[in-house]
Amino acid sequence: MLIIKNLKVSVLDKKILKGLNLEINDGEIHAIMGPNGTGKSTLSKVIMRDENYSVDGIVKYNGEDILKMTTDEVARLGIFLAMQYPISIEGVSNADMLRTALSIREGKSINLFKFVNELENAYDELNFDKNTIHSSINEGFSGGERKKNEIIGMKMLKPSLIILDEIDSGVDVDNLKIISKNILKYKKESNASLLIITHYPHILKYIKPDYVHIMNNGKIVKTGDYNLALSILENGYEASVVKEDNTCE
Amino acid sequence: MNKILMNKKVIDKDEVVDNIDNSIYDIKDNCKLVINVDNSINSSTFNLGNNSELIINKNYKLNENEEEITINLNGVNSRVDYNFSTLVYDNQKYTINVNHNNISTISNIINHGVVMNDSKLEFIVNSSVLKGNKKSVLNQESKIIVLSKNNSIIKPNLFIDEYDVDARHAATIGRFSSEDIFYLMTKGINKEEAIKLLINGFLNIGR
Ligand SMILES: Nc1ncnc2c1ncn2[C@@H]1O[C@H](COP(=O)(O)OP(=O)(O)OP(=O)(O)O)[C@@H](O)[C@H]1O
Ligand SMILES: [Mg+2]
Repeated sequence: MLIIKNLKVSVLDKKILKGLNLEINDGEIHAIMGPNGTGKSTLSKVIMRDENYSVDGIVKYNGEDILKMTTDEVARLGIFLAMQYPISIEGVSNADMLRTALSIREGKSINLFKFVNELENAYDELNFDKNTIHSSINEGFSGGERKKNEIIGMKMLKPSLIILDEIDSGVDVDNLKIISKNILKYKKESNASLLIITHYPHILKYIKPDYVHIMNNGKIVKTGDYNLALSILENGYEASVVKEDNTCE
Repeated sequence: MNKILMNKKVIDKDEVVDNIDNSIYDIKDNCKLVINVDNSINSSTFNLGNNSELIINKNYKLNENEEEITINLNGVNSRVDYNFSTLVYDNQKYTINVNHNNISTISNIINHGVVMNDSKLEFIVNSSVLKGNKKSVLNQESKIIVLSKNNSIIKPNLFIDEYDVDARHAATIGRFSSEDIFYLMTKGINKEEAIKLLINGFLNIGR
């Protein structure tokens, strides 16, 4: 279970998150939508303990105080972030990275045969070229291919909370189906929770959220269900927030 | 200066070697010499004939070391590919002279070093093309990553007296980016292991 209370985040003098609250119970699917520059990616990176941000408030996962941990420790707690802009690293292969990550987690060298088998399977299930297993991470990959590669990482590392920062942007319709199918299958096997950051309801059609949050100006300003996502698509953010506020009065 | 006896070896058929015990190598026309070493080759000179090829792959993890290598591309279409990587804990200096002495000669010189402490690593690359040696191609890439205080230097020198050549060089001294380290750490890899992966990756490029 992830608990975020009154989270305030800033970079240098710029305030980005301004008292954000969010709770994700095991197995729940949450979506966050919100205008550009509102702090969605910042939230995801703060959970992963990106040192660029000054942080105040409470972030706990399964009772552990994340704000006291390093990035790798958070990852080993079972939190996985598929970044909005996955970088490429020359000279380090996907296989090297994932094998190292798994060995550290298990505290011993892993069975290579089993590892390669599983990795090749993951590539197959994402309809991804297996020849890139041993080439540099994301090097020469298109934007959409980089997103698929993140899902390969997810399948191998087997997290219990998955944060997807715009996994759907830059991905064509067929690949979005493949990505969604893989995420749903893994969720079914593992009962992992999901936090989906997106601008479009399309992915939420495949992966139905229990909650949809609208974030604006560093806070969650409204929470609803899948219909809220549809209303945003139709009316935009301002109207979706204001309209509902009026009906409440 | 005390000159050690210069012993010369003639390469008149394709050869692959994993150590060097001569000071001068004459690679005859149409022949290829491949050198794969992980120990210092000190100072050597290579003379290449027409259509001949020299490939040098050096991967070092040595104590204090200094080398000067001279490659004379004397023959038409002769070519050298030099891939060097070094993991540095002690002062090291590497000079490489590449002389394009004929037309359509190609040199591809790659130096990668990771300096683990505040030692000094020097890459000095001198490539020259005399007037008339048209259609030659020169590529120099020297990169150093420092993990501590930087004392290293790169001197990339191109002496070119001919218009019709394709020459490029890149020289950088820097550090691993915090984004790369963060990305690896988000996969559950601790900082120390993340840097190890990046070091191995950087030294492997070009291999
Ligand atoms: N490391 C940083 N240094 C400086 N400013 C930052 C940094 N990270 C985020 N910001 C700023 O904080 C604000 C929120 O950025 P963030 O990337 O979290 O937005 P977002 O909601 O993910 O937007 P988008 O929908 O465009 O992806 C932006 O104004 C951005 O410029
Ligand atoms: Mg973003």
